[in-house]
Amino acid sequence: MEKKNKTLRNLFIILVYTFLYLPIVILVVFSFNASKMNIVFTHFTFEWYAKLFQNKDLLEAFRNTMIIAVVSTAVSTVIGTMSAVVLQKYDFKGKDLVNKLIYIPIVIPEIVLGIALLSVYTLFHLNLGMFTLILSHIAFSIPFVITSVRSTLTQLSPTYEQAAYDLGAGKIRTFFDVTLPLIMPGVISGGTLAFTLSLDDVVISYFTAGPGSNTLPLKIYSMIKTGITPDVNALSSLMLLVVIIVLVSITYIQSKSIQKRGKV
Amino acid sequence: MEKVIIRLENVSKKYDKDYVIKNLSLDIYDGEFLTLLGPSGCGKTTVLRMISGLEAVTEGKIYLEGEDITDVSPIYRAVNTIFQNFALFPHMTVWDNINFGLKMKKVPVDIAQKRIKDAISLVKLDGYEKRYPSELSGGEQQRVAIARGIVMNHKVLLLDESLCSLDLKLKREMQVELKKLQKKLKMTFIYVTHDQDEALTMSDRIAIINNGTIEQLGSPREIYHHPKTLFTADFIGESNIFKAVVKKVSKDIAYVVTKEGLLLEVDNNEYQIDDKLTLIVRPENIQIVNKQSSNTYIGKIINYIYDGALAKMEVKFGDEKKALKVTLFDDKNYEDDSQVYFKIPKESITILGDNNE
Repeated sequence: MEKKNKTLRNLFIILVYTFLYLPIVILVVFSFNASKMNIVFTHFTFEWYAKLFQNKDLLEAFRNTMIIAVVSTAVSTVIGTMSAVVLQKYDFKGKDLVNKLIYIPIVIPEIVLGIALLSVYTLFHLNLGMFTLILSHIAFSIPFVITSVRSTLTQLSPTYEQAAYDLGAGKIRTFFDVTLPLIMPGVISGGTLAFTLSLDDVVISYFTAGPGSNTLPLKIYSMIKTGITPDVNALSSLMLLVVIIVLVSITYIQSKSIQKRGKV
Repeated sequence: MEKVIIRLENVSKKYDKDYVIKNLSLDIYDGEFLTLLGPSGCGKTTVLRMISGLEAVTEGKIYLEGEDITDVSPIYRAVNTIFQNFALFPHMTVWDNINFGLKMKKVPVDIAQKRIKDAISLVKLDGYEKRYPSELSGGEQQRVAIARGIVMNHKVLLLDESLCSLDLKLKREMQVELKKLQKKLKMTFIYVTHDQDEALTMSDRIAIINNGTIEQLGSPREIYHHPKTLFTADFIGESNIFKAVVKKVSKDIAYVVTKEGLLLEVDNNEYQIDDKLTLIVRPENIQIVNKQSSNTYIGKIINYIYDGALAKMEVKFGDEKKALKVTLFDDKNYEDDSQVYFKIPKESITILGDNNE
């Protein structure tokens, strides 16, 4: 009886993980396939990866994507963290409404947000390009940062700040010396979320990109119009690698700092 | 005359429409250990937080060494708080925690280092400087919190139920140490607690707080032996409370009859016949005696408990509806249900007027 349950449980877990990871494994495997067709694996090659690094368009798209991701993550993390602190600490008229409005950009269809942003840029005669892309990415990242930071803020006892005031620390010192280090896990996970969201965004970028501001996801999207080729697989695998590296290093840094200072 | 360090003048605090503190005035002397004692929700912590500045005062004034600090931000008040949960900064070492306030006040590094070292050895935490709060036990965290407060060299330390999260044995040890520390530093400690044991063992004076006002202010002895109100008598220690009516008066003695039907002699204090009185008798003042005399009645022992130092029991009497609490140092063993004479000595009866309902 016990043993049967165990087998069933293991089988279930294997099925779920297969469902989740099989497509990714196939993608990575076929990026090393010599054949141009994604049907049979003929033999192993780095050809497609080599080809990628000779493709000037692709390299430029990659550069754009990284710039947008880094800048929008930095800006949205700062704005989002500040907003979260304000929303947590201060009471003002209509705070309830403001709190609820934060979730709207998260839940509305991306396509709607894309069109909305495009209309704004047109209205203000902004030329579509890197600037509008960064602006858009900041806009859709902020709510995620706020949500993430707030969840750590609500768990933070107000006595830490009070103790800091009591010991003569001004509000700004208190924020940087006490509050910020304590909510850092939330800030980092909010920032990570913003970074990965920016890295793989297609829909909003599609509406707000202009000439000369192609991003990697947009480039991939345009490439598959002519069928999935091994170089798309290679490119996607590389993107996957970037995200994995970012996530692993952040987890590593966080676990190290937690080890150092124990649980908060 | 002792020097007043903190003066609360008709201080009130209102949350929404309800007063949690009503018109409270209190002088706190330099170098004393004052305890604000009361049940939870009585407003004692609010008083402490108003002194620290973490809570705004609705009405009234607070003075620190004669200077009005009512509207001074907690950042600039020369008092420090030990929080109930200690509020040690978890991302800083013991050293950095203690250094925090000095850094904010821009105390020169060499002076700061000396003061931190002194504070650390004062609370006996030498060798713990590089540890993080999560690596410390509750008692050690408590010591860090105290060191962080006293290193500031301010005259007043506010302690908010600081011992209540410690286990009983540690709590007893810390009570003694806190008191020693306070004497050594000659600092004013204002201590908030709901634990009467803590209040009685450590304080120079106790302020009993109830419903946002001071019920009684005095030394532990005064509070224990001469409670001025029924609340104080009931809250501090155990007591037997009788409602009684004066039946007969002579020059020195008034004869009263309690609701239970006991006829007792009490000291006369210009009572009139039919005056209603409340009598309070501590359990340890009741005697078990061999022969009948004044204020002596017969009763039956129930719930006899011997705890090593003391024997606690209840004595049923009269119609057996009410039982007296009795505590004896006597090592003579009594069986439950044994009949005894109990005496309520006249001089051990505290009498409250009939305004105490």
